[in-house]
Amino acid sequence: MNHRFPKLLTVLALASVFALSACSSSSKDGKANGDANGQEAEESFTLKVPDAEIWGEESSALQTMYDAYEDKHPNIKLEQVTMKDDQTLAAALVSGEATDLMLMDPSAAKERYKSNYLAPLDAYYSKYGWDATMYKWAKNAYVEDDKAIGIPWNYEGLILMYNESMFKDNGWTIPTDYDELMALVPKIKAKGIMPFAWGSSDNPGVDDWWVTSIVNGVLGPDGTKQLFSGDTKWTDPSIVEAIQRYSDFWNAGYVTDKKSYAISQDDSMQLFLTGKAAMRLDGTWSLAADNEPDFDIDFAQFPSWKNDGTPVIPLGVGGGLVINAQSEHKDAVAELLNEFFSPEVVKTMAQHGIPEPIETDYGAMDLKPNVSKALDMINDAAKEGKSGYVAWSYGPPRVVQVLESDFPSVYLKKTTVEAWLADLQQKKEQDVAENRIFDLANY
Amino acid sequence: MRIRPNWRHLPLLLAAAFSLFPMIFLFLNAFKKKSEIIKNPLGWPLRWTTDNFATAWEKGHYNVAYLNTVAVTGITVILMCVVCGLAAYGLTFMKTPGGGVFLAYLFVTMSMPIGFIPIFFMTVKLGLIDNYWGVIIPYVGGGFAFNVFLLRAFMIGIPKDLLESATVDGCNQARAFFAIILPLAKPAFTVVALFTTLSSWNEIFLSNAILQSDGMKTVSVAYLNFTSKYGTNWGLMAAGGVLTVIPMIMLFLSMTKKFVSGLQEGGVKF
Amino acid sequence: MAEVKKRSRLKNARGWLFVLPGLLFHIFAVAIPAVLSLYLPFTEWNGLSMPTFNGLDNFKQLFHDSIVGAAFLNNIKWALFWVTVPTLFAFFLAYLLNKIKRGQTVYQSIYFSTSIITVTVAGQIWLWLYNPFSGMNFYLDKAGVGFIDIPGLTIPSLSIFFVLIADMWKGFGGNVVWLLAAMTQNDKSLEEAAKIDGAGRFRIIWNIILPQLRPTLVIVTMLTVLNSFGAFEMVYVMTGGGPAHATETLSTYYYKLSTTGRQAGYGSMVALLQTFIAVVLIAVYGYLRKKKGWDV
Repeated sequence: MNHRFPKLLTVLALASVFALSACSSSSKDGKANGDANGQEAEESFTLKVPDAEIWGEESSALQTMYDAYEDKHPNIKLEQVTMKDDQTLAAALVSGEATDLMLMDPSAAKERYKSNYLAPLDAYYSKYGWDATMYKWAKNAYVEDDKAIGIPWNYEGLILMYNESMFKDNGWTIPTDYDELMALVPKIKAKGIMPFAWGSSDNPGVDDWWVTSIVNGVLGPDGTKQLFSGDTKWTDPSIVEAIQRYSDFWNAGYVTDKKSYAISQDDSMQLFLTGKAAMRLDGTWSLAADNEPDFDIDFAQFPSWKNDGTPVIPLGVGGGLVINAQSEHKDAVAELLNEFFSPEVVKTMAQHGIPEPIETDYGAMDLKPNVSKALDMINDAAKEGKSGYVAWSYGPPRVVQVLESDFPSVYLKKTTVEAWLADLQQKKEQDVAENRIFDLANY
Repeated sequence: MRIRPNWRHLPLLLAAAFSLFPMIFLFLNAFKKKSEIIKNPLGWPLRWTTDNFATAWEKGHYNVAYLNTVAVTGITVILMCVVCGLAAYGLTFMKTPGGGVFLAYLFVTMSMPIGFIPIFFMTVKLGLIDNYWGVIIPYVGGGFAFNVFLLRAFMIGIPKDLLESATVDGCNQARAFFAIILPLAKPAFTVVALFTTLSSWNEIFLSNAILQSDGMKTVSVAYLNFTSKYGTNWGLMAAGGVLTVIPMIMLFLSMTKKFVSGLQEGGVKF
Repeated sequence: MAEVKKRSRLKNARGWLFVLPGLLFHIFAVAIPAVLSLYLPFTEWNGLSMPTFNGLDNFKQLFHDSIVGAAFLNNIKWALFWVTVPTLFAFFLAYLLNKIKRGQTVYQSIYFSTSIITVTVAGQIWLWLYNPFSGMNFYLDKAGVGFIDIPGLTIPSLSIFFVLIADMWKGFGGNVVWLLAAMTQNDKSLEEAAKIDGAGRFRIIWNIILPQLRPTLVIVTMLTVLNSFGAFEMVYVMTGGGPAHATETLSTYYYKLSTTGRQAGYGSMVALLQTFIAVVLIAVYGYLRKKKGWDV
């Protein structure tokens, strides 16, 4: 028995080697067979596309898009490939193994376009007329060196989500500026309820929502533009004061009882949904979630951080679809992208709370009440010039990187507000010197 | 015979509770709806549901994933035992000038943080993206140093006379390895096999990047699909976690005796 | 004559033939990637475009970077914790296990079972437990002992310690199995003799058991320290190095720099520092072993 053990090992090892090589060659044959069926004009090939569940349920519109395309083009196979994180995608790009179609944030897209990994899309924009109904500011998030490099896939805004039942029971009203906010929060705290639920342990990046909300509220849309791309400095006294305000606000225990870094975003949602917190800073994308709370949830524009300011809704795009510069079938990918604007896909996107940035009639789409209400609110704000800009779409890349990783240093007082902002300003100047900022003309 | 209660069981049981009680929450949460986990992360499920398992099974393509994982793990384990066994044998019983320096070098590589990008780059150059070998080669290469140490430690304890008599009998070195050392060192190989199984079963970073298409996914990666930019479905994650862990627990329960005796018979000295 | 010499030299090195197959795997998976990443510490590289050589800039930056210092300190805390608390805990359990007759296997399986869980899941379980509002504290409150407040991750300066507890939970079982295996090999007659001489329990542990375990303890400690300087997964899963770098380790910092930080060149320099630390530790170990006779 003992003596047969090593032989068995060898045999198994050899067998597995053959089995594996057989496997891989048979799968190639499978692809070759597909070719034989293509008698029509269209040749047959395979496009590699991102897994439809790459961003969870919210990205299921991709599946709708793929299905529609495959119906029209039976000879073209779409192979869904999962690249779970940005690092994997980066490695795949560098080694020439990335998918034909990709989904990525504006800042990543721009950097990759500069390194020649992405194809310019202007020809396709004019061929299919994609920008006829697309919001210009959204398209511009994917414009670099005057070239369109991607299709913004949704738009989203930051809002104040609140427990409507709790507000009604206590006779509280929604604050709109800093004075009202500061008048309200001690009352909430006195009831033993946390004013704000917030969590960043799983992703310190979410802290830049606060900075976004603060600078938009204090500087207004135009001032924010100047801060991100123009002459306004991060060391501007109004910014110093506002960031200091947040630090004081946090240290007074109004945000998750000074424990926000110890719990995750999901955990903070739990605090809100169990009535332990009254409000949340949140994104419009979360309005479609099925959380089954025992109370009514409502939302409003987040109060301004200026004493008597008016609220601004910071808007941005959450991601976009781009074409790999090394793809051998760019025209086919563009054809596939055109399905992104078909009514079915537009509807699926909107139903998941991440509407496409195009002018369309959402009234007919059977959306959840809060989702359609958010769309109306954003549209109204945009008309009044009260829509702002989120840092993650428009901020200088080096600054955003700090906002997304190091804001806790401020409210944990590891550094001073002045020193922290001075560092940001320095990072912005570096980005200006390397021409990596969002062009002022493109807002 | 009367069984006298032994006080030693008390601290041992407490330690067992320390090990088990966090795991119980994983199992409980696997039976809760997503919305319930958010409100009630540690409590008893208010409504038991097995939906998570059904959904996770389907969404994570677990039927294919299990096959993939078994194939990858199986081949990795066999290769690891063969190549590390041979190397340990060579370094222990045969003349290998510079062997000492080589062992020191291996020791250093064990603690070297190797970036993910160079490994990915190599895999691409070898054309092994979306291929079992793309992960098997790094697994075997990565575990080589540690397992050579482990096996060598065991082999040092085998008397050289045994081998010498075999060589006198006209056995060549290769036969001596297969006929004498391998059977004698079986306990140590069990330990190597078990460690390798555990690590390759649970490996996430490489398999996530290299095995890209749905048909190639392994179990440990499958449940990463339940988390996304917009939030995580912890019900599915917990169910996926349970699905990933159960085969390993069964394997370990059936192997504990062999594993422990493998360590006891000398696998602990370097 | 020369021919014979050459042949005998070849014959003398025939052992390498046995090492070769494994070495090939090692070369592809470890050696070449390591050499590839040896150039990177001396470049400016965003991880995307071609790296450009920038000499010793990254090296200088290393000494001006307070985060590297903080991370290094955390690695040291990590090592100090692991060589004390879990090791003593594991020794204690192994000692008890060695004395009981029934259930050894069951206990060992239970202790080891936590290492089987993937780290992402293990980390999440502990995050559920540490949650200040719905975790252990909530249930302690409910049980009427609200004065016991487990800080979990709420106090930045203590966070690393609570991450370590989670890491210990996942890893101590291996040490128990390892130490028990070594203990059962101990010469039982020495213990019996000491008992007859009237030696107390602690004297026996100190004078009889520990000296026999020394080789195992030395190697376990060595591996533990080496692993501590590469501590990554549990930290990454539980805190990502935050808040404000309070739990940063060299590995999490390296990982962040090379991914979201887009400073892969500088990140590689941090990785090189880690390799350097490992080489130093191994050199010290080798010295003590050879020169000071701390032999195994």
